[in-house]
Amino acid sequence: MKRGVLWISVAGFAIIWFCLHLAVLYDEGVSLQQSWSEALTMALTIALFLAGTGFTLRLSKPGISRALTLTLGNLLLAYGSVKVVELFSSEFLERPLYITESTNLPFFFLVLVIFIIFQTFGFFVWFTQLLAERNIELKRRNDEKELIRQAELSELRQQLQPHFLFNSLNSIQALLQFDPQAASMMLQTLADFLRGSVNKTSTQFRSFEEEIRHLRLYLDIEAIRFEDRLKVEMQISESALETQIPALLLQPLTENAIKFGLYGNTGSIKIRLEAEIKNGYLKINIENPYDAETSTGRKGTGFGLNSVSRRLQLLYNRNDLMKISRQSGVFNVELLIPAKS
Amino acid sequence: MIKVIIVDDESLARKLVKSFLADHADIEIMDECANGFDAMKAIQKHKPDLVFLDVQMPKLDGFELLELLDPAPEIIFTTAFDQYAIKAFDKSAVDYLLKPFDKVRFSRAISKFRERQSNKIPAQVNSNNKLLDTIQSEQEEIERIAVKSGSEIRIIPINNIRYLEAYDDYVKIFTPDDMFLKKQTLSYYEQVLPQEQFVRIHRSVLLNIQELNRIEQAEKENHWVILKDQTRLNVSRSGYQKLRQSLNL
Repeated sequence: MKRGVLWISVAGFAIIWFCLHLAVLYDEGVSLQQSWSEALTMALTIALFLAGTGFTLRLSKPGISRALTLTLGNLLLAYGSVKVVELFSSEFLERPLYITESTNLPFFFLVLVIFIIFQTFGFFVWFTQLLAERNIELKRRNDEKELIRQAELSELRQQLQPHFLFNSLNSIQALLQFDPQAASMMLQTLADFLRGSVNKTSTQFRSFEEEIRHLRLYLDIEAIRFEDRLKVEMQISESALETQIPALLLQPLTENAIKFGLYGNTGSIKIRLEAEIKNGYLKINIENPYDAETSTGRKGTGFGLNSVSRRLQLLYNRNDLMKISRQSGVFNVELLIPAKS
Repeated sequence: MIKVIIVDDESLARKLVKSFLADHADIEIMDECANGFDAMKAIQKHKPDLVFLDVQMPKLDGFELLELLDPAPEIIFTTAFDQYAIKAFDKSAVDYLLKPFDKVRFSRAISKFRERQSNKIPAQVNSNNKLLDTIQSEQEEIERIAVKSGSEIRIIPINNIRYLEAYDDYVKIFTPDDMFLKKQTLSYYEQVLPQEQFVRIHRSVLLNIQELNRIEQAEKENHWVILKDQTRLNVSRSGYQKLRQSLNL
């Protein structure tokens, strides 16, 4: 709930109280000067307590046990506020509390009315809070959907763009010249890989095993393109395979690792992929060598990392699930995916 | 015989060019290279007439290699990226083959090369310099500069550059522990280096402002900049304005 809204509602309650109080007393024949001073003291006391509860509630989450505490607290506050004004009147102004004295209203009736006001106000604050939270949640989900769509699009764009798709087609063109059978196989792999990427628009999660299978198609193609320059080592624990993970997460990271690794080295490189279940998380590490001197801040290498990190943040509402480290020529991306099967 | 070198980091891509070249009996393949460094050596050794050159390669990319070659052989680019085409023709490439390409398209590139050989069209025909200038001004920022130092190729990340100084047809590039010469204009670097980082403080000096330690007033309108290693550089009046602007003074 916004601060401004809170202040306005506190003021609203106080003003209404002031008017009613004034009207009742004046109606009973109390002098105007005495009527408004008592009404004002009461209204200000109520406003003060309302603001106090309001700002406390603003920071707490609604809940059943808290509702109980709130009710008890409000009872006390209602009793307290009447008592305060009564004491104030008798001690400083040396006069009775007209609102009970001259109207014959029982003391506790007054406390009850004020209690209802406090209670209404408290639940009003909570209600708006819930509403705001719901809106944030809805927005987060919408953002997430939008981002997944974009991730799929951009992933496709990455694949359909020069460095992957066109180079692969060029390799097929080459194989057609002297090894048509190998060309045919590569074409099939490429088609399977593209299908696995395109058809993933509706499903958000898939098993890690499926994700790895998809990744292997990609790696098979890269292996033909780069031959012995590219070695990939995978170490995946059995239990990791059944975990569900967001689809199309590994390929952009692996592509990044290969590109980063190959363009920074003239020799052969080794990409390592490790996955295991640890403390309720699927922990994935992707490692590639890099050349600290020539590849500092090279453009276009960050895209895969950014989109994955952003996606994790939207899916899990956390930003500590991806860690990047560069150490002695090794670039490492670590992912933690909350495990669910 | 026409001497040819094939440069591509993917071996299948090199094999493809080789197999397409088999039809041309007068062409001899001198060497095949998988990266810019090897290509540099091979080109200096064999002095080929024609080079098939990929753009995206480890360490030293196709354009960086081309900048280091003087005189440059005729070039046919072979790449999957279409966004380099303008730059390629700017460097007066014979042709720009977009992967994947077939034999027919490849033969056309070879014909272009032969035509150019028989007509002896000079390598640099800049009939529309204006156009090239506008293209150049739209060039994206560079992140490193490749230079030749003796027989060695050095890659300088731009953050390592302290300042650049015009020197006849060359530019002196000063790094913390070295100085390199590169055949290029200072205006070119003013355009392609990040403007918020490199400021033209003088007609002949482009300064990396991260190296700046302080500015001193010499007399009335004259200023000096003192770099972190105490190097003193002269600042012109307009250079001082630019410097103040980029330092938000």
